[in-house]
Amino acid sequence: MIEAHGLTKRYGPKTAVNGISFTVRPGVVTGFLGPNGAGKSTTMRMIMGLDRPTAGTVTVNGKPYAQHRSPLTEVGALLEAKAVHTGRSAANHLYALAATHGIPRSRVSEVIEMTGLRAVAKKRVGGFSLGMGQRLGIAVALLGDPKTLILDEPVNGLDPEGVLWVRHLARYLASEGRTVFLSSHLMSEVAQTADRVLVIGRGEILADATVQEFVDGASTKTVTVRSPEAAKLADVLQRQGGTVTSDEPGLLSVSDVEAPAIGEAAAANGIVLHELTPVRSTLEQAYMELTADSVEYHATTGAESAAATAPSAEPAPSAAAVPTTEGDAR
Amino acid sequence: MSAAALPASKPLFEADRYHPTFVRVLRSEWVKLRSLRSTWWVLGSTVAVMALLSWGASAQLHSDVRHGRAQFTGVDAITSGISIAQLVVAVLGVLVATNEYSSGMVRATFSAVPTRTPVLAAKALVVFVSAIVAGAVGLVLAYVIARAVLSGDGVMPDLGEWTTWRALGGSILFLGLVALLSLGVGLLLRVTAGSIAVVLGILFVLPIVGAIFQGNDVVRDIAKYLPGNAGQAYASTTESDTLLSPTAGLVVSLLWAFVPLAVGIILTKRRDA
Repeated sequence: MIEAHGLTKRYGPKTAVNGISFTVRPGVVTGFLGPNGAGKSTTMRMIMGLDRPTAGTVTVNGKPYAQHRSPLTEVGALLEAKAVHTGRSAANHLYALAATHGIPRSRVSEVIEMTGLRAVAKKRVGGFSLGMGQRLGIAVALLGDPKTLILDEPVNGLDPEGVLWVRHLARYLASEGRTVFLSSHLMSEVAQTADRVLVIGRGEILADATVQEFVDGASTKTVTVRSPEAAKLADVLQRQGGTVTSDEPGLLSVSDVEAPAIGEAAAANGIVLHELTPVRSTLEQAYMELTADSVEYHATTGAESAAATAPSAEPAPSAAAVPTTEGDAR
Repeated sequence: MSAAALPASKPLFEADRYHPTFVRVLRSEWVKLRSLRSTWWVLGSTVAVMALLSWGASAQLHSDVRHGRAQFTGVDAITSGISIAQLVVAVLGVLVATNEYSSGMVRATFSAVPTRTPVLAAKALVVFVSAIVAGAVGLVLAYVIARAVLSGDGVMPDLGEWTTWRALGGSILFLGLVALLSLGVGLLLRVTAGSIAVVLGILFVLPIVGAIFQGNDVVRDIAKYLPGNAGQAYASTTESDTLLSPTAGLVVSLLWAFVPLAVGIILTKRRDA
C-alpha cells in the first residue's frame, strides 16, 4: 500500500509534482501513466525517500519509506536502468546490495536465475544491453522478496519476450498479494499489464481509475456506417441529433447516436446498410486526449521549430531509399 | 494494516533478522570497493610509487653522502613517495564518492540504507583502511629498498628512535587522512573531474603558490596550515620554523580530513539523491 497526500516537489520555480494524492493498493497492478516529464520518476523517487518532498507526505505500508527497519524487504525498486557502475559485475552489484541486509549469496543466485542473467552474471555491466540492464534492475528489486514493488519504465529496452516476462511477473507478484506500481509512458503497455491506472500530466493526477473505467470515461464512441444512400441517411441521423462526418462517398462516421438507433432509423426510412460498426476510440486515443494539454514537449509546427524539424525530416526520404539500393545490389 | 496488504505467502526474509547493521553496510562497501579494477590499480600504484621514489631518493642520498653534502635524511628518502602517493589515494577517495553519482548507483545504495549515514561512515572506513594498508605495504618496500641502496652510508634511521616511528607511521596516517579529505570533497561536489581538480589544487597547487611567495611572512604562516605542510610536521624527523609542531600538524591534518567529510555527510543526508 502506497499512500500520498498533497505530495509536491518544486525545483526552483518549476513545479514537477503539484500536490498529488493517491493510494496504490496491494493485490493489483497499478499503472502510473504519463508523458515524459510528467512527474512519474520524481514521484517514485519521493516514495523511496530519495528526493525530499517540498510539501506533503507519502508512506509505504503505513510508514515513510526511510523509517522501515528492513527497507529492501519492504519495497523493491527499479528506478533507472543501468544505474550500476559499469566496471562491476552484475553478481557483485547484487551482492553489494544484498550484503546491507545480510541477505545471503544464495538469494543473489536466485534472482539472477529468475531474471535470466546467469550467462552474464560475472561479466562487467558496461557491456550490457539496455535490456540486460533492465533485467538487472528488476533483479535488484526482487532481491529482498519485498511486499511492494516500484518499477519505473520496466519494459524500456526489453525485447518482446522480455516485455511479456515483465507483464507476467508483475501480475504474478500482484496475485501473491503484493503491491505493484509500475510506470510507463505507453498506454498500450499499461492496458495489458495493469488493473488500475493512475494518469499524471504536468505534475497533476488526471485520472485514477480501473483501466476499464478509464477507457469508458475518456473515450468518444463513434459508429462507422456504410450505405449506398449515405447522403439520405446522414440527413436522417442529423435530424436525430447525430454528428455525421464523411471521409469518402458512401461511408459515414456517426457520433452521438448509438448503433441500434442508427439501424432502426435506416429501417424506418427504407435505407439499405452495408456496414454498421460501433468504433471505440482506442486506449491510446483516450490517453492522448486526456494528456493533450499536459504534454511537456509538444512537437510544434511554429516558425521557430521549422528549423529544428527540417533536418530530422530530411533523412526520411533517403532512409526510404535504402531498401531500394540494397535491392539493386542484390 | 489490513491483512490484504501482506503477501499471502510468508516473506523469505523477516525484517527482524534481515535489516541493515553497520557491519553489514561495511561489508557492502568493501564488496563495492574490491569489485572494481580501478581500486586495485590505484592501490597498486600507491605501493609502486612509494617503492620507486624511495629508490630514486635513496640513490640521490647515497651519492650526496659520498660527496659529503647530504641535504635530507634517510627517513626523508624512505617517505619521499608520499608526495606522489597522496595524489593517487586522493583519486581513490574522490572516486568512492563520485562513482555512486556518475553511475546512478547511489539511488540503489540509499534505497537499501535510507538513513545514509552508515553508508558514508562505511565508505570513510574502507577508504581510510585501504589507503593505510597500501601506504604501509609501500613503506615497507621503500624501507627495504633504501636499506639496500644506503648500506654502509650510516644514514638509515634508527628504529629504536620514537621520532623514526612517528615519521614513518605519520606518513601512512597522512595518506589515510588525504583519502578522507578527498572522500569529503567528492561527497560535496559529486562530480569526479571537479572534485579531483579541487583536491589536487589543495594538495599540489596551493603549496607551490606558498613556496613562490615564501618571502611573505603572512603567506608563509598560512602555508604551514596546508594539508601537505601540516603532514610534513609529523611525518618527518626534522623540525623547522616553516612547519607547525608535530602535534599541531596532526591536529590540522585531522581537521582537513574530517571537516569536509562531516559537511559532506550532513549535506548528503539533506540533499536529493
